[in-house]
Amino acid sequence: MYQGKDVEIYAGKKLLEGEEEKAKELEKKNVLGDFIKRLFRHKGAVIGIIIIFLFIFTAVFAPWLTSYSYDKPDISVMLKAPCREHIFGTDEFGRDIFTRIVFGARISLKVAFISVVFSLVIGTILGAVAGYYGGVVDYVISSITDIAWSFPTTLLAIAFIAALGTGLENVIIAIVLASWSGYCRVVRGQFLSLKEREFVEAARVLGMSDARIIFRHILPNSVTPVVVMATLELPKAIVIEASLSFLGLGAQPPLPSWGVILDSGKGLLEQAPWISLFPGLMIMLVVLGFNLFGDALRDVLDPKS
Amino acid sequence: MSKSDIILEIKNLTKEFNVKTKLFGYGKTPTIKAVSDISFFVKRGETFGLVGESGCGKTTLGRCIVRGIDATSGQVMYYMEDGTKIDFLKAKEEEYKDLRKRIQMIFQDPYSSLDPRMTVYDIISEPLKACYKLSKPEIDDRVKEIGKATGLDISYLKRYPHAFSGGQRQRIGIARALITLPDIIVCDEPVSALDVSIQAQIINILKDLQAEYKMTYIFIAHDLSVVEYISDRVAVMYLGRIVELAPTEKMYSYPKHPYTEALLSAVPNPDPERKMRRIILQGEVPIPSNPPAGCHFHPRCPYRGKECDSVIPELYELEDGHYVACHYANKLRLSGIGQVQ
Repeated sequence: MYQGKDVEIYAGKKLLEGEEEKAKELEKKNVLGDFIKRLFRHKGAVIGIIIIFLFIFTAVFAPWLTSYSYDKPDISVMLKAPCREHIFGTDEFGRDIFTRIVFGARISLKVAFISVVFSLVIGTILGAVAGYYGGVVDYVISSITDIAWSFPTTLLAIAFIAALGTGLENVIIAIVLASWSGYCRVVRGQFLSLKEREFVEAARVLGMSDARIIFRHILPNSVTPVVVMATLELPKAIVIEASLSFLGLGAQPPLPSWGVILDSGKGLLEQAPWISLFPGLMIMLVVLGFNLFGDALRDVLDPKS
Repeated sequence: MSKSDIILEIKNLTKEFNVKTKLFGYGKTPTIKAVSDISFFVKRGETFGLVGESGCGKTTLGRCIVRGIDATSGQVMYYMEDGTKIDFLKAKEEEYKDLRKRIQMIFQDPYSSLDPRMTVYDIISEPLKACYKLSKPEIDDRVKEIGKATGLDISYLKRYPHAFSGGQRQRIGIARALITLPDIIVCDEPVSALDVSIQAQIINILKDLQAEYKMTYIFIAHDLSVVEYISDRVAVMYLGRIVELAPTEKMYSYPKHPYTEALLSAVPNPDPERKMRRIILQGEVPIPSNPPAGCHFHPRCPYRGKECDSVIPELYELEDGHYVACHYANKLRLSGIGQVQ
């Protein structure tokens, strides 16, 4: 009798252990899986992801999506309204607007990503140093940041372009110089609050070097707001690039930047409104996509949700 | 007591905090003396308890000792096995690295003292990577050994801290402090954030580990029963000063300082038959930026005499090993909690 009972208890224990193994497995997947699950439950995120994916796909596979050339004029099809051969119509040189927009996506996304990466790196490093070391270093860096922050981004970018000259590289430099201050402020704030946390003090007491504390302990904990901010800065960079190109300060014709196409259509708004309409729509759409995604990221990554 | 028994000697340790109140930093800023001119020594292998109410500077003192914050002045002398001594607060690069391994700390809050973005394995092994150059299998062995010693389940080490309960998290904190095999661990209220049943577990683990690894503890707490249970000697702090320091039994049975007596009378007593006189102190703890003249305790002291409000009493040895800072220590007959009525 006793033995039978023992076996039963033993079996029960085994079962419990098995359950625990399963729970462990679940736990492993949870961190990333939970994040993705919550992201895809968010309507805005899904729409944003679809739009962003479409544009990235277009930019990457541009040459395979169209049979026309984006810069060769074809006088025979000048100013054609949207039709079967030219779904977005043609411009005053007979170039296919759809082709130009497809290749323009390359320019817009390239400029946006490169400038965001650079301003992110610069802003993060300066913000980390200012926030972690404090004192005079913080005072100097914060002052410069506040000065840079006080100018409207587009205006500052135009000022830099005026000094540097036109061209896509200079557009990137101008956007970086005009937008790093935002990251710097966010990262500095994160560092100021995180360095007072007990686990950072623990790391210091346990003998870690400053570099290790900054890169292993504080940065990983301050990454969330920075990622959200970078996502929301991408559409801003796209708009600045388009504005600069529209003003003739960015990409130069015949390069098919969306801003350039918009600009080229502004004199023909009555005869051929499609020249300006479609690039404008594209800018709106891609900005909407990134903003939806960024907002969703902020909601999903918020620990309080 | 021979000199070789001492492992750590704190001499005239002072920590002042500047309080910025004036616009643009003009004018004299007031300072708060969180720790003022504290001296004591810790014997090798003992548990040195440090008690006092909130805000008396015991945590600040602990953090100064481990260099979590920089002391304003004073020395923390570490005695090596061969008798040489090094001031930890002024140690140069090489010595500092060596001492860092020998003096570690356990933190109060097991929720905020573990990095939420690191796995438990990384948290525990991190001091090893910072202090020693060890190969991966060596680190692995050490982490597993210490993990077992602190009662952690080795198979859960790849998880993140949020998956653990308070008691388990504090075990992780202990394992992290223990991994460099230190001589001294400063325990900053290691159990005050835990519930009572877990407190007992953690304290017993600390005791077992002390016996196994021959460590010295500086145990900071505000719970007198916990301190009585674990400590060999106890120091009582009030407003940044030590007012009494004695072996635990002596302190609890025959307190010599009126503040200690008041503290002890407030300890809950499980025996309903025993009637105790509860001393209720009048007034509040004074603001540290503007402490009363003379003995800091005199405005609240039921036994105060005429020199108490002008002369600061020094900490002196009243009996063998029993230090007290009170003008009337040898005249007063105070009651502790060990006495039979």
